[in-house]
Amino acid sequence: MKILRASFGISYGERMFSAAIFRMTLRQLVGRHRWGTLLMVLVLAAMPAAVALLIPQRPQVGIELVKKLLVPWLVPALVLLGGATVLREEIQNQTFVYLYLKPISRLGLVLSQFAAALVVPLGATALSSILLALARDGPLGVFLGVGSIAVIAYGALFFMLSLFFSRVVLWAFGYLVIWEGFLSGISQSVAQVSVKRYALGLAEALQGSGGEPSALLSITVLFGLVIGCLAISAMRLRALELAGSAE
Amino acid sequence: MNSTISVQHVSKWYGQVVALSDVSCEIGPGVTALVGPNGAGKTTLFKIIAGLLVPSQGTVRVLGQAPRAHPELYSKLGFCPETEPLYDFMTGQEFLELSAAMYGIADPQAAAMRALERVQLLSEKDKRVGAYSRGMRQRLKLAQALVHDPEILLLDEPLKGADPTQRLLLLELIRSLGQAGKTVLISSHVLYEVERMASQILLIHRGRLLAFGDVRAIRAAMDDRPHRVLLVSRDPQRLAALLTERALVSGVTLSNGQLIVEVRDPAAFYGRLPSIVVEAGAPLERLVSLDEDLESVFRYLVR
Repeated sequence: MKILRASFGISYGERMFSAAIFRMTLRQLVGRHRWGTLLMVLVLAAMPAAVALLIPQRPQVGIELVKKLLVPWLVPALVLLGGATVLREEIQNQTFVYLYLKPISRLGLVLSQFAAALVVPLGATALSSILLALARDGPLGVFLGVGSIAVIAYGALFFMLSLFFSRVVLWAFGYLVIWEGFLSGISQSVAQVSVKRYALGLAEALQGSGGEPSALLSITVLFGLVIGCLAISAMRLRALELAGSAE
Repeated sequence: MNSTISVQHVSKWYGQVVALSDVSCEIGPGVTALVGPNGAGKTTLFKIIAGLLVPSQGTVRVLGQAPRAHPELYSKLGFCPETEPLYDFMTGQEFLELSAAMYGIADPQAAAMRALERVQLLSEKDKRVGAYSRGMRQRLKLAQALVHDPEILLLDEPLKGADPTQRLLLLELIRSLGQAGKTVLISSHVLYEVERMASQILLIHRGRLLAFGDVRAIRAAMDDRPHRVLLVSRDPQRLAALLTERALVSGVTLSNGQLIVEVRDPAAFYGRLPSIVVEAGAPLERLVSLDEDLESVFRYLVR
C-alpha cells in the first residue's frame, strides 16, 4: 500500500475515493436536465434488439450483433453520451474548482468521477444485452460480460483523452473510424493496439469459439489499459492548471 | 507575525504576458485585502496560493506546505472563486452537504445548515441554485468555503453582486472571521469596504506588489508624496502664515475659509501644531487627514 501511495503521490490523510464526488457527478449525469441525452441513450440501447428483430433469424445472430454493432459502435457512443467526458466538462464550465480543492488525492478524484461516469453506459449496455437476449435467444452472460468490459475499457480511454483534448468526441470518433475501423483493417500491427480487438477476442473466447487473442490475454490487456488510462489521468490532473474557461 | 501563507518571489507568465512579477509577502491571521485594478494579477495570485495554478517562478507555502502537492491541506483551506458557475441543478442545501461530505465531515447536514445560516440562506436552502439571484449565488459560494470551518479563507471578490444589505452582512461576517483568528485573504474593488474589514492590504498593479501592510503605515512610508491635511480655523490666514514661516508645510491652499496644507514631515507637523494653533489665537474647529484612506494610497501608487 505504501508503494502504491508513493507511486501515485498520495499522502496520508487523503482519500482515494469520495462517495460525495461520485454522488455529485452522478447527479449531474442522470439529472432531469439531461433528459434528452438519456433518451438518446435508451434509443441506442434498444438498437441491437430492434435490428435483431428486423433481420431474419439465424444462429449466432445475437453474438454477431454484439461483435459488429454493440461493442465497436454503440458502446463507445454510450460511453461518450453517458459521461466519459464529465471531468472535461467540469473543467470547461469552471465547476471543477469545487471538486479540485478538496482533501482527496488526484487519483481518488479520477476514480470517483470515472466510477460515476460508468453508471449510465453500464446500465444502458446491460439493458441492451437483456433486450437482445430476449429478442433472439442468446447467451446473456456473454453479452453482459463483453459489453461491460468494453464499457470500462472505452470509458477509461475516453476519460483520459478528455483530459488532454477539449474536443474529445472528435478524437474518439477519429479513433473509432480511422484507427479501429480503417487502419486496423489494413495493418495487423495497428489492430494489436485497439480496444475492439481484445473486446471481440473476449467475446469469442466466452462464446467458446477459441482463436486469438485468448480470453486471458484479452482481459489482461484491457485491465492494463484501464489501469494505465486512470493512472495517466491522475498524473494529468496533478499537472493541470485551472486558469479558467480556456482550459 | 505568524505567517500562514508565504509567497516568495512568485512570478507567473503566459507566453509573453506577465501576470505576476516577483511577488513576495507573508500573510498571517486576520483579514488581508488584495487590492488592485482589473487585470492587476489578483485572481492569478489567489489561484497560485490555492494551488490551482503553478507559479512560473517562486514558491508558495500554505501552513508550511505546497498546496498542489498536498491535497490534504484543503481541509484547512476554503476558497470562494470569482467565477459564477455553480451546480445549478442542485439545491443550495444539497450542494453544501455534498461539499461538506467531500471534506470528510461526520455530519455534513449539520455543517451545511450552519454554513447556510452564517450567510443567511437558510430560507432558500431548498431552492435550485439555478434559480438563485446573483447575490444569493455569491453567498452560497462563500458558504461552501466556510462549510468545513477552515483556518484559511481565500475570497476572490466575495461581495460582487451583493446588494447593500447583503454587503453589510458579508462585511460583518468576514470581519468576525478575522477576529476569530482565521487568515482571510480577500479581494475587492470597493476600497471603502476593504478599509472597513481589512487590517492589512496587499496592493498589486500590473502583476507587481506595490505595497503591503497597514494602510496608514504604507501612506507614511510614501515619502515622495506630501500628506494633505484639512484645517478649519477662525483665522486660517494667520495659521497658514505661521505654518509656512516655521517650514512645517510645503504647500498651502486656502478656499472658502478652509486651509489645506501639504505636509512632508507628519511627525514634526503634528508635534508642533498645537503650539502653533495657540500662537495663532484661533482654535482649530476641524482637522482631517485627506489622504490616509486606502483610495488615496491606491491612487498615488497606481498612478
